[in-house]
Amino acid sequence: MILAIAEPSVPASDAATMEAVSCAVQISAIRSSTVILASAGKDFEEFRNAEGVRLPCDVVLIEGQSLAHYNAEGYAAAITGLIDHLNPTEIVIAGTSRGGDLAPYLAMRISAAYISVVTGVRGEGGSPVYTRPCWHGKMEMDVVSRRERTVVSVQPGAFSAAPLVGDERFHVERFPVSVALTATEPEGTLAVSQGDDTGLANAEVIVSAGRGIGNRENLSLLMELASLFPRSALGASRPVCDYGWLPYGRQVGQTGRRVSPRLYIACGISGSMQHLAGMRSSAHIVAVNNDRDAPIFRHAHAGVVEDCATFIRVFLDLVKERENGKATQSEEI
Amino acid sequence: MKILVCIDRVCDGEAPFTVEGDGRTIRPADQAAWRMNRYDEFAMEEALQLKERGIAAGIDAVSVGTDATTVALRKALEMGAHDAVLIRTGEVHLTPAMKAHLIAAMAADVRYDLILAGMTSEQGLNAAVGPMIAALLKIPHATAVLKMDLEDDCRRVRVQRELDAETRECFRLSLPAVVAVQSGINRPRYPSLSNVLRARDQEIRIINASDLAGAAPDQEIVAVRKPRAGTGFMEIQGSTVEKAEGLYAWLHERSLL
Ligand SMILES: Cc1cc2nc3c(=O)[nH]c(=O)nc-3n(C[C@H](O)[C@H](O)[C@H](O)COP(=O)(O)OP(=O)(O)OC[C@H]3O[C@@H](n4cnc5c(N)ncnc54)[C@H](O)[C@@H]3O)c2cc1C
Ligand SMILES: Nc1ncnc2c1ncn2[C@@H]1O[C@H](COP(=O)(O)O)[C@@H](O)[C@H]1O
Repeated sequence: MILAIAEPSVPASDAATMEAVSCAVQISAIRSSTVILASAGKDFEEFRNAEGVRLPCDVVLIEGQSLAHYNAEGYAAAITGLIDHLNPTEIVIAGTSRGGDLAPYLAMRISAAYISVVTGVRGEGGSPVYTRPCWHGKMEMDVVSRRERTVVSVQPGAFSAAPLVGDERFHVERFPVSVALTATEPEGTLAVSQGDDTGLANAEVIVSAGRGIGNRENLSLLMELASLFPRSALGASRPVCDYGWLPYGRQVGQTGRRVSPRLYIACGISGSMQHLAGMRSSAHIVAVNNDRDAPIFRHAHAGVVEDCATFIRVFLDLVKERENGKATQSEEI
Repeated sequence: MKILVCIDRVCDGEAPFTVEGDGRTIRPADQAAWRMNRYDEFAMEEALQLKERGIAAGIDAVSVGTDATTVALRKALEMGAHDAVLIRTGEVHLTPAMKAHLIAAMAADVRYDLILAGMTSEQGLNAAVGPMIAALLKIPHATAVLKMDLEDDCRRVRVQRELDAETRECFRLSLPAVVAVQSGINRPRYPSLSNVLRARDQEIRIINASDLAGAAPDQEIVAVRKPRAGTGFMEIQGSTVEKAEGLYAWLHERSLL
């Protein structure tokens, strides 16, 4: 059987859980096997009681002390107990912050293969072949496991989170475990502030700076570009904030802000999966990058292969010229 | 206390590369493109700050790979690592589990108090080696760490992990522990001239992977390829001025400008 693990500790109806289940279902089709969804922690009742929840699999609720807060040590011990009981061939975990913390640790604890950031799976001779990105996201690779058991972590957004064909009357079983934490003391979560509202949320047009803008000084060119559009704002990729060129409140992505403006102009941004997670749903995406192979072009609607600063300067001059032209024309009339 | 920092060598993302005849191996066109993984610069910086605060007595940097991997170790020495260790392997594809087994075997002998790693390799994107070392050494770990403080006479480390833009979660881990740091935890320093000069002559200790308890590959790459491009993409071509005109027209047609 294939074991899917619910996103640790958040309500299990979370999209990440459903995506892991989707991937597990695909693997089970390849293996002619079944799926069980395991949830550790306490929020599962909420999921079960939610209206219209349909699942293509039964559920095991792992219960025990030390699971109230996510922690790799306790979760891995508890899940290992369930794995010994169910004997799954694959264990599928969402590649979220917690899932990504747990999955490689669990894989080593149970001597399984670990295949991470999986974006697709297909069957070959009754075994799964996984697709995952490599080489800075510019390439992808197909990999197969060389162990009897495999832990798979799933790239967020790669599999469907929509309710799958299934029965809402899925069966829930309880699996009590006793794990004692010896080396880890969870202390709960902490809210952090990203600073004041940067206007990103309401902007119709976002001009975003990536590492490829080269230096802080070039930001003024991007600001000038943004000022051509009403209701515009300046965004950034994570490294630009790490360098201190712009505050973290302007970071777009998986661990930044999620935006979907009418127009998103990515300047010197490679298009990592984490950045795409925050802006992929923008209505129009324009990318300026001097590398034709940059992944951002695979997700953009229009692209210019050029040095950022040079291109923006030429573009700004052109707009000025056109506008002066318009102004002269209207004077003549 | 003694710290081990795990350093990966990656190829620059912008360097041209080719896929070899086997259809499974990617190589940069220019060997000069290799450098230290950026996430590991943050891990090195964290270790150096502990040294400067008088907490860390020794900092070793370790890298698993071929002789060419020494570029990254050299950078670690330039930044201020005391010693550098290369766990030398052949020209084989190393999975995170293989690397973790080798580093854990080497670290088990030395008994480090703290093992620092980067969040992920920029090139391989696994985010796995750190937690795997912890599992093999049966010690606690935390990934995506944006803040860490030593407590209780260096018997414990208190960490904050990044969950999303506005949430972190906190743990106290007893040492020894593995901490995989996320970008932005600090501002990595540029090597000082004196350190660069010192590093130039310093010897890198070499351990042959075959002398350590390693692991067989847990997975195999069967093919590499370029991902399919999205639909509806238009490259605006021509001279720089023509491209500017092209984009202007494109935006106009869509009433975006
Ligand atoms: C858990 C986790 C969470 C993350 N969350 C986020 C997030 O929320 N947001 C985010 O952005 N990142 C996030 N990241 C980081 C992410 O993985 C990438 O490292 C980051 O997005 C890369 O930023 P970039 O595109 O600006 O830089 P790079 O990837 O270095 O790309 C720079 C680009 O600029 C181009 N370029 C270089 N010179 C020029 C020039 N002169 N003119 C034009 N183009 C040029 C290059 O071809 C390249 O494509 C996260 C990473 C992890 C591990
Ligand atoms: N070849 C290597 N040698 C030493 N440490 C490595 C190596 N590869 C990865 N690491 C460490 O593990 C972290 C995560 O890498 P990865 O699991 O490959 O994404 C890196 O930031 C390094 O700290």
